[in-house]
Amino acid sequence: MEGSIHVDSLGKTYQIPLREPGIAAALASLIRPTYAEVTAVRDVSFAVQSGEMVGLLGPNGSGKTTTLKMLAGLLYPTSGKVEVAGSVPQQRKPEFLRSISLVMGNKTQLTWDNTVHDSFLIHKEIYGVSQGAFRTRLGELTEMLDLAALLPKQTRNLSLGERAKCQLVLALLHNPRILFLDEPTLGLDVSMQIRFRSFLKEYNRRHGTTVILTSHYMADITSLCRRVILINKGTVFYDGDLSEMARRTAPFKLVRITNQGDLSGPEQTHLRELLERLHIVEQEQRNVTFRVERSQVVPLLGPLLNAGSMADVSIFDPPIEAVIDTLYQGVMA
Amino acid sequence: MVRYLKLVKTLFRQSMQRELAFRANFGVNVIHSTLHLVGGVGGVVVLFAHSDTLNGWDFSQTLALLGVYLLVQSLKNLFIGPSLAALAGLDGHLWTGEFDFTLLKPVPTQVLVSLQAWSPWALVDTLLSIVVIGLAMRTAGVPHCGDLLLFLLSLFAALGLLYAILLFLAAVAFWYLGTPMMWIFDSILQMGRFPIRIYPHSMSLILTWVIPVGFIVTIPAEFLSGQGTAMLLLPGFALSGLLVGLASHFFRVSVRRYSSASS
Repeated sequence: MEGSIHVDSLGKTYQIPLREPGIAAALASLIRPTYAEVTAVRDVSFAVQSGEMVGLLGPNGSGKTTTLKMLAGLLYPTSGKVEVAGSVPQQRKPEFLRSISLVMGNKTQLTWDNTVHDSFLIHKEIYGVSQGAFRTRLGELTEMLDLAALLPKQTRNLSLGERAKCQLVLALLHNPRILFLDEPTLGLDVSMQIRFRSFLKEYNRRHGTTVILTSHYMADITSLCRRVILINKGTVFYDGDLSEMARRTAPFKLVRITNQGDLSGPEQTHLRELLERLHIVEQEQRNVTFRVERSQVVPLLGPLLNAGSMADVSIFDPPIEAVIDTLYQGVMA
Repeated sequence: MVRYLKLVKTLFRQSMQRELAFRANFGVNVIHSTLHLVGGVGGVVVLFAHSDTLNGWDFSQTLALLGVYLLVQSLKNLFIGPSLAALAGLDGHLWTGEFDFTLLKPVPTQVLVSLQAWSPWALVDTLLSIVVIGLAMRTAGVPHCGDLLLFLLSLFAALGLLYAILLFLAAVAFWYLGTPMMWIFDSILQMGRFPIRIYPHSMSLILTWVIPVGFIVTIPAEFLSGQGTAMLLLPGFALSGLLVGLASHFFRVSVRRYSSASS
């Protein structure tokens, strides 16, 4: 209960001002403004159990951040019900607010001109964390993220990656049961992203914190979340296992062959004939990559090996980015 | 309550640490405060070089009024102004979307919004304003204990009024994110440098009951100079309480309207 989330037919509609271009339209809008209704979230339902790590995916403007903000109690839903950690988020009861934390990759709650440690102290007072608990939590998080050298520095003097680490530690100081992460690795370099992911994985293992993550970096999702919820145009169109989603969306494997000789040579006729019947994804010199239905991979291998003089064959799943792109293209069409 | 006091202590200490990180700022603030004071007192001296009274107010009473004006301004600048400006001023949290984080804190939003930023240098102005009040009292004679008590009570009501107006104007930013409305009130508050009775009757009524600059500055100054009407204190407190209640309600309604800055 304390770390679980239940969302039922959630909807959110905004009113946004509309205006034609030009000064005349600007003046007219002063007298008679016109508005349009934008449905950011139409009908979203799902449940998350305590301790789960779930990826919330969707193209830009699909409604995932709006959903996340309704879960955190920042926005009032237009329709539907939401219950997080046993509370209605919009009531913003102190016990609910103490049980959650939100990290947004493009915003910081560290005080710009104060030291990192000072920002942590303000957080401690606001959340009423006892001195002993604060010391223990800070010690653990500092060690896990190798943060000690950053504590006496002013936030303004930190690099983007250092700020992101401190931001994450700040969000965890009060030991929330549920962590909402909205693009937490935005703008971070590859090694910082890797450290972030391994920290989150280890933190979740140690503390059983529920994590809802949105990210456009698929590596964040694949390394952290077994389950994904895909949202587009404000509705859920997939909720389940990430690998199952890949299997369903892309029921094929990619096979890459490297031939010993040039494919245009007369001795490669059999291979060329075989390849003509396949769905080629990429071809360059002696390398060819093609799609094969999962069930057809093994039966194809024999004829393939006999048809040419192979230097190398590799079989792999399509990259998750391609799977997601296929899904997005499919639902947006 | 103890928790909030601890929070205020931490926020104040942090603001102090932040200010101390910029050493030159201390010197600039002292110069600014001194110039502000010299300008104010100089104005009163020049005014009374040609006349003994200003619509019934003599030099010491006008000086006391200036002292009260500076005191109210300094208390406003100590935390109410900076805190609400951090919310609704230019580049405030409503513009940047940082208000999201304020809403997520397990402390009443209005309390946090009203106490979040402090300007410790305003205490220099507070000290200087007390010096001005002291000088005025030295010229006019120390007021009776009763008048002093009434002054303190009226000052309390005045700060309530000031807070209510500023909270209301800050909450307007939830509906209209343009020029910060608090700037407009700052200009109106400048009228409190002079006794409201020097303005035409209709204007002085407006400045007492509609935009209660009179209640905020003139009436406490009247008590200080022994010419206050104790009867005004009760409606003053009632108005203060009513406006704080209304402004708090408007703030809550406005927060519900908040749709967060774009992701």
